[in-house]
Amino acid sequence: MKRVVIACGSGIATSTIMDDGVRTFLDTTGIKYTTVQCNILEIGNYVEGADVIVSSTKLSTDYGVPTVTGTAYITGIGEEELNKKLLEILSK
Amino acid sequence: MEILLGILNFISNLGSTVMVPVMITIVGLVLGLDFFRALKAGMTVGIGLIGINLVMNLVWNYMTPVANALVEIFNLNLRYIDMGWSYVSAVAFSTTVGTFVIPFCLLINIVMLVIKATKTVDIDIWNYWHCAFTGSCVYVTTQNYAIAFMAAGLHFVATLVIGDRFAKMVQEEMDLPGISLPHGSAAPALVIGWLANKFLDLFFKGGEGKENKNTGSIAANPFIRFISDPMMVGLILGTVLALVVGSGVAGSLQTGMAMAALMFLLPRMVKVLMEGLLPLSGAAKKTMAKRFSGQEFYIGMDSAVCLGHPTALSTSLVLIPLTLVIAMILPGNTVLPLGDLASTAYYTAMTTIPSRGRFGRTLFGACIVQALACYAGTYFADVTTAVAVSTGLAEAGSTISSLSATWMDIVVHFIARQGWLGFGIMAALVIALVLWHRTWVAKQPAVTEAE
Repeated sequence: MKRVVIACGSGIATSTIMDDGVRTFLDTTGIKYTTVQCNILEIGNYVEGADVIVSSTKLSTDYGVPTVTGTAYITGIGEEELNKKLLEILSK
Repeated sequence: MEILLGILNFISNLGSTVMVPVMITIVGLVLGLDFFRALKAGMTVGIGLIGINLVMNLVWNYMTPVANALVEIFNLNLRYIDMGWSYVSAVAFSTTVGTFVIPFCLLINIVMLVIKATKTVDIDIWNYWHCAFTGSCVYVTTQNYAIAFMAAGLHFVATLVIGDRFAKMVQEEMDLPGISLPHGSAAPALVIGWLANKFLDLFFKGGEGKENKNTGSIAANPFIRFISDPMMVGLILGTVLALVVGSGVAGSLQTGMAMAALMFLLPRMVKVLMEGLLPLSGAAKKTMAKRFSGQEFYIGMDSAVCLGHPTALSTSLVLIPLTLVIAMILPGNTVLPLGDLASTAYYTAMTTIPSRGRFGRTLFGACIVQALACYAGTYFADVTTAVAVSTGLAEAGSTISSLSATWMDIVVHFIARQGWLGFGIMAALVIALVLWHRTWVAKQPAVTEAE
């Protein structure tokens, strides 16, 4: 089971779109996963056991977990590259 | 017109938990969703509203008595409880004006793009709630749909214009090419941050590039981790305030737990509502992308894309206790900060940009933004409560507000409440803004040339 942490300003709005993007893509890959949404300050509380962090913004803190910026799920620009990156991280 | 008003009144009398699902379903159909998905979207939003209602009992049962006691015992006039932006957004979307705001603002955006009066394609339909809020407040005050929609429209146009004007600065400082922030709390905060910097420039020079790079250590600090968790903020504030008004240890701890539950559950309920809007945002994105794509357009996003900036994060933590201090010492303020203490980063991120990442300037700007938010909360307290009561999301006689209203909301509402004179002024302002901004848009080099 892969664990995806999805973070934005509040864990409510932007992360919900990114969560939808991540789910829509991962459902096509057959990877088993769970997602959790939180705000950026809370990442530290959710990062244990996580396989990847999808964040609405570049993070200045290194949590020791692969991190990607998930804005492509909102704009639709670069969504395929983001999917590829996500797959690469989660296939390890 | 009579028939239209009759339909509007019939719909709004259904109560928000029925009216909103019906309206969202219709909007979904208009945006091209099939019936099942549209209905599911509408119902999900309605379920979110019901969830919010359930959670709000925590406020009526636990927090209102404490706030009232604070007023009585200490003469501290903070009788309106700040419910936070998530609650206010739900309230704003569940009024008659609010349910029409998404198609209304999309339409304005399309018209502005067609007449080349903006460069921003605003796909961030969640944050149309700011316009829904202004419109709903104006409707409660004037009981006039035309004036209410004009107010929402002016708010939206102004936000797009500010978004465009600050886009370059945002893109450079945050390294986000092609983005603008036509966001109801971001745009006014950017303006304040910019003015604050202009002011500070009179006294201080230089200091660019002296960013605060050590957020890593700040964020890892156990104490900071503790107070940055909304749940803990609720527990501490609830318990301390209840103790102060003499509720006893058991009662205070119960209030603390209730407030922790509020801070934890309310955003989750709003999230359900957001999930319901998700298919709509997808459909809107598709519609907009078909017509307006390519490099000459900015994509309008939520200011959440900026929150990772180290200065924004570290100042936001300092701003949490500072906001409480500001609320207490600010003359005339009546709002007790609670819900929006969890959203300080939205404001610090915006003042970070014109401050070019300098810590002191960012904090200075953010304090002004928070002080203005207190005044906006005070100005809108009774109106916010009236809107919330009208949607059934608050009990009659409750006293709630938020720190999410801005100086821009005040300006628009103040003009609008002059009635038809206000309508005329707002219409003139819209035209003036569009004409003024069009000449600016025309002067912008195409992105491809600039690079």
